[in-house]
Amino acid sequence: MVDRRQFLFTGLALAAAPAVAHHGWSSFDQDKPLYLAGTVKSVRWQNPHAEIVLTVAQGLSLPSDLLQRPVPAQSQRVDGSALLKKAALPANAAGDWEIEFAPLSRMEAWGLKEPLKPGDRIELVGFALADSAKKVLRVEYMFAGGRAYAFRSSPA
Amino acid sequence: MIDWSLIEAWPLAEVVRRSVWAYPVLESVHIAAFAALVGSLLLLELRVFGVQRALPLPAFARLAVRTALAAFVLAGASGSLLFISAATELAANPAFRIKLVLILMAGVNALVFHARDSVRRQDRLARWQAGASLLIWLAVIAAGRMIAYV
Repeated sequence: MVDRRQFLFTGLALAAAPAVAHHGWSSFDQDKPLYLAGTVKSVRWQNPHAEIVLTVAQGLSLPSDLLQRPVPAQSQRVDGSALLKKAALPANAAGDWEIEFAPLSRMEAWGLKEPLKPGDRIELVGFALADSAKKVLRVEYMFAGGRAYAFRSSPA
Repeated sequence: MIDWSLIEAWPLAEVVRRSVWAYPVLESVHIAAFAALVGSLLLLELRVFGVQRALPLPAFARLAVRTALAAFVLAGASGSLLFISAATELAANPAFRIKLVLILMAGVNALVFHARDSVRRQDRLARWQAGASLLIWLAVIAAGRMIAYV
């Protein structure tokens, strides 16, 4: 069905594609929460979930107040403070990250009716892919514009 | 090779992506449709295997096949709308490609089944094809579910 040339093309297309595949949430390493901060580079505000590219600068460090941040109540019980306590920096933080958010309905439920914009500065806590070195992060918490958002479930 | 990004740029594809509810509604239609499709085929296949012989097979087969065909049209329509919303990514997705090949196999299997009038013959090949049909459709479901995991 798939000839060699087509296979090669697909490989090249995949390598060059700006967006990665939509991942089931089980693909992410949920034992290792990671902290990222950076500038929104591009936005794909779409279903099945919103995606952005986040540019993370060199020299990222964990903010000293991370543990004191209030995590918003959500319908699914998540031990937010334990997550924040465990949050670490990724080994290779600097560069462009593919960030996967929630479906648009849940983004709206959190009050994000307007998409994030390129240039927005945001902080994230989330999970990277379990079996890949690709810079992909599934967002658990976002801190932006003085507000905290939790994307595992809807606001409680 | 087809430039899938052109299809992805269609206004209709944009609507499926950007609308808050279009995507989940289409997913629901897709699931309901393939439940009806596989469900009606499962009953037909059980009957071909000799379960509930009291049911007249020709009439039962007409009911099951027409239900399955209508469901297939609905699953195909909803699936196509979901496909165009992420055409580039899906066209390159191995699980999606396998799923399309499997649907093609199921179609050929069904054509052969009916072309040789298996409903009237009720022979060994008819039963083999019924079994194959069920396995292929279960594999279609599995491949469809795997799209998000590969």
